[in-house]
Amino acid sequence: MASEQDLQLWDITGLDGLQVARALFGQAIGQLAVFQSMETVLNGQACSVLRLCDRNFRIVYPGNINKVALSKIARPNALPVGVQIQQYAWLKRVVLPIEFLSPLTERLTVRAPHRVKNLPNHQAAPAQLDDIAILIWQHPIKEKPVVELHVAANRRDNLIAIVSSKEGNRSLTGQTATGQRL
Amino acid sequence: MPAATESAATKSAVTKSAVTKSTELPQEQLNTSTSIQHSDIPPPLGEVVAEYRIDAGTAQTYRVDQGQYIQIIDVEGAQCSDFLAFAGERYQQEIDATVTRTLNGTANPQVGLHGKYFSQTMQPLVEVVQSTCDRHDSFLLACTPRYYEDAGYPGHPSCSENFNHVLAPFGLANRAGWPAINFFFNTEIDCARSVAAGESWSRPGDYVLLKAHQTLLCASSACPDDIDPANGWQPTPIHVRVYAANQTFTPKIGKRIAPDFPLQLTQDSAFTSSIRQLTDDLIEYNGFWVPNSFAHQGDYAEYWALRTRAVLMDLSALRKFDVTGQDAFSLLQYAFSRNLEKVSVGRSAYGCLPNPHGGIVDDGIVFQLGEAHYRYVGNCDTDGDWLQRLAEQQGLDVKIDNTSSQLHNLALQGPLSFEILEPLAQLSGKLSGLSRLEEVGYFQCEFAEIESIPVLISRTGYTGELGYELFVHPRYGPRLWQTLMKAGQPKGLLPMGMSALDRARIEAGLLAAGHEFDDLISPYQAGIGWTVSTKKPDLVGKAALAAIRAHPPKVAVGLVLEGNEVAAHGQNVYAAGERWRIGQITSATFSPILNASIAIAQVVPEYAQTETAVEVGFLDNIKRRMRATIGPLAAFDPTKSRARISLTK
Repeated sequence: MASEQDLQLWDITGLDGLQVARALFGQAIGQLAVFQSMETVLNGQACSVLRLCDRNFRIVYPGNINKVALSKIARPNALPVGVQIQQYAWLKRVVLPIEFLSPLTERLTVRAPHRVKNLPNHQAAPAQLDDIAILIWQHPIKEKPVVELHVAANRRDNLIAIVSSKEGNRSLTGQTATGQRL
Repeated sequence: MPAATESAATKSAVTKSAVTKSTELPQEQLNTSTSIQHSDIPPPLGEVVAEYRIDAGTAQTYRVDQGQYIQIIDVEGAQCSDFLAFAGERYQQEIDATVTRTLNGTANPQVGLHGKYFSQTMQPLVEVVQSTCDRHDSFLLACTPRYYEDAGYPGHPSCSENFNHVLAPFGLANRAGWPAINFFFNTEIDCARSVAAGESWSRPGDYVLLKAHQTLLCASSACPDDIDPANGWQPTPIHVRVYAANQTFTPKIGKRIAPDFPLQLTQDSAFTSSIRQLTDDLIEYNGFWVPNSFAHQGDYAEYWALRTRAVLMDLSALRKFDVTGQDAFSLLQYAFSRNLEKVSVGRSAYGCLPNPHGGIVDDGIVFQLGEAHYRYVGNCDTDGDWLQRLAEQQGLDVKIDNTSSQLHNLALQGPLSFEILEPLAQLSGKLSGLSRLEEVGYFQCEFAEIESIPVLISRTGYTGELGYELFVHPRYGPRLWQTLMKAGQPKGLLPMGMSALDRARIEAGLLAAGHEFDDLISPYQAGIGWTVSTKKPDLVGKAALAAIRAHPPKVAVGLVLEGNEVAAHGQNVYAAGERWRIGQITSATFSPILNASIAIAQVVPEYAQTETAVEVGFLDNIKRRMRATIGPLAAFDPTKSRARISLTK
């Protein structure tokens, strides 16, 4: 089983993004609303899939999804023209224990119509913590619910500092699955 | 703080009865609050803290505190009023129309979710809360000396020069042209991508109500332009009122639906208060605030709940007209396309109201609620007026009551809708004699009680699924909503918004006014020729309809596109491999259940055969065309087997 450190962010975008996501993760992907997510298994490895718009998806996965997609759905050995699977160097993730969810959402600014109060499991929303733009996402990793924050790479340390300070100086790095640098 | 700022700050507290005039600044630069009672404008909306009459061809500044409201009133009609707002100690923040358009995704902010005007740093400065004339400009500068000079009027007063004059005391440097929000200025981007301007649409007393999100220095003009139609060739005054911050003004959009109908402001239904707890994504639809989608759900989740479980929708924006009297049948038999001889008490029929040349006034459902009591449920307030006129023309003895305000309605739709409703509904049997819900067939209705709430249950819908519509007096609305939501929760019921509904109705081949039909499109072109009874002795537009039926210029078809790109209303449909058009898309969506891009189109009859290959033009119609195949109007369940399903064992 992959460790938290092995998990990586992948983004599927493009006109045929939904069709590629269906081929990789199954028909249920098409039933997700925007900013909803599901857990599934790809090539024997657990992964989380978050829908970001009609055709775009973000995946947390320990392997190389590009390679998996090429082997599973590509003919001949190339993805459909209308899709890209890539990793964004400018995007990082920070994972927090679920106990952080309630106090964190109290401090977030959210633009309508998004809401973060009582954010359910398998749900994400764009928000701001102070002046840092984040995507907050509640979903399970290894069947354990977590709060996952996606943030610009150059603001990740600021984000961790703010979250740490606002959580009564609790050490993020001292807890399981928190503040992962990926 | 500069002296001018201090002076303005003082004046922001001026009340109606306490006019203040500064001696430190020239009179014409003062934002002097007036104490005169004006009889030429609508009464105040709330507690006024200051008001200003801006004479024709001039401009004024005024201060507004955070949370206060600004009402800009067009006194005589057809008068533009350019608006500037500045925040910050040195007025360094100002409204930026480009930022505003970008963040809202609209040419002008609209009352509701996308109603804010932003500064260059993306901070909201003001928000439009009410607007009775939704036609403003955010593309052009306030009129400039250059405009008049180029037209041969050197020295003509301009809004920009007037703004320069009144803003100079605040340390704001002159500009050749001010990028203002030009309220009531009628501009549009035409088909040649030009910015076209014309006479303002506003009538006397039309207004815009803005909420100040920050403490602001504002400037408003009464535009001096008298050399073109912008102000109806004759500049007139503008009136500005400032309301206290401790008030609540509900969001409203004013719309006019006919020349002889009064202005109508957006209203809440009996269910809106419950719905607002679940979403902030509400849109104006047919005069009501309706949910577009729900928080923590969204279009796709709601759609799949409809197709696999059940959903609850507020469709109170439908209009209801009760037609009673000894000639009620005769009137509707003449006005409505279906043959009502086949409809009996407790039954209903879908059809349309044709006009004399075979176009469609509206589509809707006629319910028979008694021997001489019918109810027409459609989309337009003018339907009742149309029926009344027909009754008078025909000398018929009927009474037509608009019961829309007494009957709001929910739609409970989806394969589990029966299971949810059946334990709750106590049917009276008064209409149809049916006492069990499973006996109520497709297009049948019955009075019932749901936890003591009187309702009319109709087995109809707009989704292509098994479902029911429940008509209720508004006073029971919140309780009915809560009862159904609670009862449906174990079955996975979700509230559904307009976004998912539009997806579902396109799959089901169901028409939308303005998309599939209007008063120039016949039922045959719209795809509901089957609702026209040609055997009736008389029907509005019967001769025209007979001629159109023989040779309809276009007919409605369904399309399944080969790629995943989704078309849109108005896109062209071409013969495969040819340069010429054969029709246009009227509605389109991505069908999740079919996993395909689908559309409703109206094409010439020569290409309407099922399985005909055509092309849909995208972008400039040359760069990309997508192949598509003609099919039935309803891409999903074209026989309506899901909606028609028999529930009796």
